[in-house]
Amino acid sequence: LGKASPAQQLQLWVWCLSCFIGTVGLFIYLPMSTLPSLEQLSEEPTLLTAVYGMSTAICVGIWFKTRHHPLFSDALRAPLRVGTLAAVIGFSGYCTYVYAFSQTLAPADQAPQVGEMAPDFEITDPEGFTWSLDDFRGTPVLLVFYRGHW
Amino acid sequence: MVYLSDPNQEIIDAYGLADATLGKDVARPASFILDGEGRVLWRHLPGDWRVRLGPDAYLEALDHVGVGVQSQ
Repeated sequence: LGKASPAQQLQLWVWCLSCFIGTVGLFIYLPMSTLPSLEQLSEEPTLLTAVYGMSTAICVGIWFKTRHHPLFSDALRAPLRVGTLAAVIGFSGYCTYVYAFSQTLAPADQAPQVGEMAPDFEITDPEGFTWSLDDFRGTPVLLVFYRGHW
Repeated sequence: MVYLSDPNQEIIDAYGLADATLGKDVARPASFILDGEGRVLWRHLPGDWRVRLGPDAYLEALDHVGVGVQSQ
């Protein structure tokens, strides 16, 4: 770094900082904040994927530009290389995850759409009363499917 | 309010709600608001079985589609 002019040093630090933000910021903060919320992901995966992909591309770009840059010592290149590798692996993993998730959910949306008629049913409760959706004709119904106590 | 059990998954299957991510032997959490004729006015189908709506969300949804207590 001694040979670099102040302007070049600044450039170096901006590169390092953006790489740091790109990797640490995205690959720690984003997975923690969004991946547990699969619902969000299933509703709007495009934007997140675009942001993720863009960040990965920036990391790869930084690594590519600094690969043979004379101002970068091996000590500087090493974290950039590791960061870029982490970004690429993280993004690939994320894409695989989104794809697998969309595949498992895709056939599942056979539920009645808004505007369609809800299928009628008849079912007996534990006390022996038989209920059907028809019993509620004329009044709005909130129908909740719940998987039990767990 | 009526609690019903669907051990044979007849209603769950009729509504296409068997959870493909968990072996299809449980229902996805799902909610529907139907009008007086049985037409779906609103539905909520989270992709994640851990996501379940609370009473406030249902009250809001009922008002949103115009069949809630406040909107009548």
